[in-house]
Amino acid sequence: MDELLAVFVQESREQLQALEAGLIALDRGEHDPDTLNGVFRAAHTIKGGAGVVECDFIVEFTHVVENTLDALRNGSRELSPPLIAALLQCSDHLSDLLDLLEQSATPDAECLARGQQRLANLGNPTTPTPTPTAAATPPVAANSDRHWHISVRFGLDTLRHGMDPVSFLHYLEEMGEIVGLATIYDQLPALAEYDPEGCYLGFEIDYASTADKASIERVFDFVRDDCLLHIIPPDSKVDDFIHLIEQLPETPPRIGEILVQVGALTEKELQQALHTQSQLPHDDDHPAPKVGEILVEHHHVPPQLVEAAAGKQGKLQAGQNHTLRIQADKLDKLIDLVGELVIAGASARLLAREIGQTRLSRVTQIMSRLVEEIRDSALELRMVQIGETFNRFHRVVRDLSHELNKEVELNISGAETELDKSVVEKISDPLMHLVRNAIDHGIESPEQRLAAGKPARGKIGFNAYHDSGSIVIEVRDDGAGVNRQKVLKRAIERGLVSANQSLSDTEILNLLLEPGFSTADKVSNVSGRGVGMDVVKRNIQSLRGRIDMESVEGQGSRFMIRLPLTLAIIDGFHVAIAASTYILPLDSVVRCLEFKDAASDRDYLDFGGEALPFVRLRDLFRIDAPMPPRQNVIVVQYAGQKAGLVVDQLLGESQTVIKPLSSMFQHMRGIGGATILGSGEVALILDVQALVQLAATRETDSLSVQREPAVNQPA
Amino acid sequence: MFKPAQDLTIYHVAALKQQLEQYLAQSPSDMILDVSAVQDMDSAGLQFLLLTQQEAGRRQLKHALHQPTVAIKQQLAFLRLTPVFTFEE
Repeated sequence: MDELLAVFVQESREQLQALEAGLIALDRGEHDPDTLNGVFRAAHTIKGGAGVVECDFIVEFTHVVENTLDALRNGSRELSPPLIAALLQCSDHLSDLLDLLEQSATPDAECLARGQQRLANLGNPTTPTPTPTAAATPPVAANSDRHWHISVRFGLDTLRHGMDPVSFLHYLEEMGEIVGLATIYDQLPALAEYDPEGCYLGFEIDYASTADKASIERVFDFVRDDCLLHIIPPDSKVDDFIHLIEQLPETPPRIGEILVQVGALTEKELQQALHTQSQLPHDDDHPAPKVGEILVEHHHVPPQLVEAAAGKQGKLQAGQNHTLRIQADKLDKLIDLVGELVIAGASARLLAREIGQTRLSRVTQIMSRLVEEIRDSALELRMVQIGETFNRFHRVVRDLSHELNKEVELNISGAETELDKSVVEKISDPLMHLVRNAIDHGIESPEQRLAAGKPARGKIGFNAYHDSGSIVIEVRDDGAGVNRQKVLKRAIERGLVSANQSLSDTEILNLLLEPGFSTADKVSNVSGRGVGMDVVKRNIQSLRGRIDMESVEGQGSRFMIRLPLTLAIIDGFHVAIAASTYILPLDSVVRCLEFKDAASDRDYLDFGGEALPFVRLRDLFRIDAPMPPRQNVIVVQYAGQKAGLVVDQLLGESQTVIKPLSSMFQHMRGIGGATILGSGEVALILDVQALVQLAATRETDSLSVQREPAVNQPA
Repeated sequence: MFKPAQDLTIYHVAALKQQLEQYLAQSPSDMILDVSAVQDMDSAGLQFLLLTQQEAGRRQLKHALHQPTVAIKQQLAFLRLTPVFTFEE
């Protein structure tokens, strides 16, 4: 049951996100019926799932929300901003309830009161005080003459999929009343063939409900793929039942009896039905089609076809994304193994080369290619689109701008850009902070904006794109921008810099990312507690990324976060200094040159007319070995900045599994990790970002010329 | 008398099937199920109960539920299966 519960919680969270996204869209004035239907469906699915896992407090709460949405959907209520706000609050409450469920807790009195209050805010005209029974039982009696007939045979694997057939009946009871019921177990085999975890059950149900067919079908959403489901609407003709009898596995007299027993047919109607069936054309050579045979056939028809034939649209909508949920740690294990495979493959290739056997080399080559593909596909499994993370901010922007009486819209582009799941998880907090900051400090009040000749409504933009092995995430606003004088003044006040220090524009902006800095004149509870921006910077650095900022006073600011796509494996470029091998991420390599003026003590060289700063790794790592006859410069690039790295030898490219350095080595400058080579030797992975920065600062120091600040941005 | 060692749920049915096979191997004279300790019965458990009855019929053994708990009675009543079984106190 626990697993089912976990699936329910996870799926409900997704539904909740969809619900919230829909509400936000409605709030923005996108009043198309699809959005409203989507919101309704999300609520309904949560309620349905809660019914299946028998979580009453969620069923009760969601039921009222669903009623409101239904009223909106059928036009009996009007959508208004206060109602959307109330619905959003209900969505928050549902999220709280899911938290409780996850902790196997139940809501306490305070939580219940809060829930009631939130439901009351919906102002449902018909909302009864949502006591458990009142809320869970819609008015059935009023229309109880609408009798549906539901016939269901569960698939053999239903139990193994974590579903309990009986719980579907309990859920049906929440939308109506089970008037008649027959439990069918004719398929139960003898002991020898009995699979205790197989499912042999079916039900014939006489069901009084005002729900529509789609709603009843949705009850069985979780098992629809492998069950035989027939729903016969109220007031159907006897013909429909004849059709049903033909479809069911049991013999016609037996099923007929059951149908009479549950009250779907009268005895007379049954006789008529059976008579009709025996009238079907047949002679001695062609006996009447046995219902069993029809069924066997029926079983062999893929359920999708049957459903399509029956025009069950709801199902098609629900089943659109065929996804498989996998636990993250299983995936991590796979990536780990692929990492080992990469190392083992490299080792095999090396050996083959040493032996010099062509056929062996060819085979290992093919293998390497396959391993490479496996690596890429394995890493791809972990890739998720960033859009989902972005979309969550619609709500944040809406709430915050209301709170601060500002008008702000959020524009998203590049939502389909993918990055590693572990990175996505960690990027959410920094983004949250940047957005809060942008709304609080960046975007001005509508009056100020109008006075400055800007539209009253401010804009915050998210953008994401891939750039040479990294993902770049931008957060920009068209607010007030940064007043550098104010920043400098504050920094001096705070003692971050001394008054007579001369700082470049970029250096001043970077002060904003220092600990203990806040420029807001008034401290609000949104941001401005003087903590955060430095934490953002630290968080991003811990992901091997960096954050840069641009700002034009009066026009807005832009933050650029640059992160590696994955944290596990890179395409490495191997170089050697003396006897040791070092590895650079291949993505960062721009060009390799021969190092000509080794004798000079300058730290920059002419690279296509540009002064290119370089670092002698031999010196940096204090390698004391005889100089080789020739050295090479590798031109690397990080975030648009180039630098040269001087090494002895170029060894070529190979896949590299990053093994993190233990904390003992983490203070080492210029080293990002380690790996094991195919030969079994350990090689260090160079931290290009740090090296490029090192080269740049050295260059500015040594030249002591006022130049364009170190951080230049790609256009 | 056959006394299920555990609750009649999906988690235990595999073990229960074995227990039943062992029980039948002793050529018992009846198939009276002592379900006085069963607190929970789900669909898988219900199937097991139905199976014991079917198996008893096949072997012409007397089948009954001995001192069923409220949980069992409620479940059977909800599924309209009460008339299917014989109960004994």
